[in-house]
Amino acid sequence: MDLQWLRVVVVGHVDHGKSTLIGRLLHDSGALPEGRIEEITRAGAGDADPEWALLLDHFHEEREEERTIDSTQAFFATPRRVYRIIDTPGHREFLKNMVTGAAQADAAILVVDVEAGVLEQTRRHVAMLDLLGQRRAIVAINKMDRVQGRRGDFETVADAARTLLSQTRINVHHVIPISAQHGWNLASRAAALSWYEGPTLFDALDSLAPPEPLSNRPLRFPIQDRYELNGRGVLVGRVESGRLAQGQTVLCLPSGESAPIASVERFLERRTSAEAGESIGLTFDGMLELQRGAVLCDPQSPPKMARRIEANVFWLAAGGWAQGDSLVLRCTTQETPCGIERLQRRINSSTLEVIETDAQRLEPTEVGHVALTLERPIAVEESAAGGPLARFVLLKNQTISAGGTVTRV
Amino acid sequence: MTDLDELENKSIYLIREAYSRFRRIAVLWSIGKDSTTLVWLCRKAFFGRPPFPIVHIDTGRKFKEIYAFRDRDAAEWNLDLRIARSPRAIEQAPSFSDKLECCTELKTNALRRMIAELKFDALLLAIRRDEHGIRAKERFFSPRDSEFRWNYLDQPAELWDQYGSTAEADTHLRIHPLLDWREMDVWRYVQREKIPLVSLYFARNGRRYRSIGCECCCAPVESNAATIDEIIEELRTTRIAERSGRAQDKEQTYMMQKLRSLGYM
Repeated sequence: MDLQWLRVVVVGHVDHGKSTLIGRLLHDSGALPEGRIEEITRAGAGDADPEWALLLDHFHEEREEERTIDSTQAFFATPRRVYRIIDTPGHREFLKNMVTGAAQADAAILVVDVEAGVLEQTRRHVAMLDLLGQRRAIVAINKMDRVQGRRGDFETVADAARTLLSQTRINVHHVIPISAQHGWNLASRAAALSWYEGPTLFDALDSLAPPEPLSNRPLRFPIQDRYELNGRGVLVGRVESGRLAQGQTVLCLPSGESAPIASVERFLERRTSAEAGESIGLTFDGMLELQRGAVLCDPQSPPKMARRIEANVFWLAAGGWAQGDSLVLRCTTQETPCGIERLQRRINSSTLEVIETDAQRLEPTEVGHVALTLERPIAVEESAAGGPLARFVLLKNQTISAGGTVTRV
Repeated sequence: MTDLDELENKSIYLIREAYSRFRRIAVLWSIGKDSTTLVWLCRKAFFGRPPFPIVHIDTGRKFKEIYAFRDRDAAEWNLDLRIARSPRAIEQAPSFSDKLECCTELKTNALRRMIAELKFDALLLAIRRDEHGIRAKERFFSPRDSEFRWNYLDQPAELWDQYGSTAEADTHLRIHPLLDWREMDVWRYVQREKIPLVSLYFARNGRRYRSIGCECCCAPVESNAATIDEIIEELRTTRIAERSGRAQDKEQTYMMQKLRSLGYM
């Protein structure tokens, strides 16, 4: 009875209808419990149509102000699989919440209002998806009911969205005219859009392939902790990529030692191997000094050890960064104090304009191209190669304040 | 890997991450299906016995089946069980003006005292996003201030399995290893792992409980599902919300938000 999952994030400018779309998807897929439609019709403005967004916007403040503040998740199923749909706020001030939601997704739906077109947060969200490594998007041109389903209006905005996405590494799978409020082209087609011959949103979602398994990549096993079990040290962690097996020789970074895996441990199971995604324990006959932050990897294709990296950093937390701030970098279970040695370019994440070169500060929502100096060397990879060691977060005052991807080691 | 493997591995990762970062942690065990699953996952994460306390908040008003089950499992699994109770509040309970006061006194404040006494830095809780729209907005690692408040309007960023910590000494983190699970996933996992559960979930005389807590505030649903297989089959077709029988969610509009912002689970 195994199910297939897909995590899909919905992004776009404020008021373009993200929460409304998800609410309506839940309804059209039959996922809503009894009484919910009445609840959101009553709690809404009092008119006859349900306020679909109220299915997602649960905070009092969100309902009063009619805007999503924090990201949320809801579930629905088609005959093909179960979707975890991640709603995100469209306001610039809630970008950290948008990123928190979007970072978990396997694919994205970009919602664009057909009347308003591509706007500031449409561009910013696309830039964030690109930085987060998202490579798949479906574009939904929303509120087609407001333009009586006119094809010309759709084509104009669809072209603008395609042009925007063509400047990124994101592949556009479909561009679909919809009305979230009326359910046009979600589960079923609409007479007003009879000229449209592509898939409905449900069909487009179902046509997306499952995410690529990480088990075919080189082994990366960052050590999370060390437990004592029956007098033996067990190194626990999650296989971030690749596979491992008892007897296989692994390289340990930063020490550079190599040793064969003595055993693979899972509670109540007999195991001799594990693959990407599994939380396991390992024992070794030697290498007793290992602890959190060490990374076990494939000796044939190891990551690089670096004390200086170049990266794209997107700042999320209030206050931003200023020259002299002390930071901590975390990459998987590796952690080291670090500093921004040079902020080469400070970039507006919506327009992608360079605001300043050799800057002394970086404001929230901005992207910086930086050179980072690390107090201790860590194992990293360039983001072009992908993988778990190519991305990191920066903490300021013990708070996750920025995300980053390694551009050069 | 199956979807259940994925959920299980992520939960184990979160539990280990919590212990690695804080050491002084505890699990809240209500004896319901979700927190019993969480205790089970803690046993898996630590190859048998979790190296931290398992806290049961006893309101004095739980079903008798819950107490019997708790004591049996705690002994069988060799758990470090701690019981948080406020005897005075239990005595006053009949005179509380409403459910907000009752839940706050019997649950939230009992927990508050235990945290202060045992100085926990973090608590593991078995809440799930699909239970309630407010819980859907939670983080995996969610900070609470010294007054136990949840600053839901300004939650920290969480990405790529990197989670926040708290800066001040008198704050704590709520950690939610089951956040991504759905009710159906819990049942399928209980079935797969053969996790023992309290009998209240299984139908007798045409009724069963879908969500359990204090006897006074839980209503059963009509059901003939007397086995796990039958419950899974029932969940496939039901349109009744899981917490529909839980009175405290419904007394006022935004009740769950109020409860949770005061430190309720």
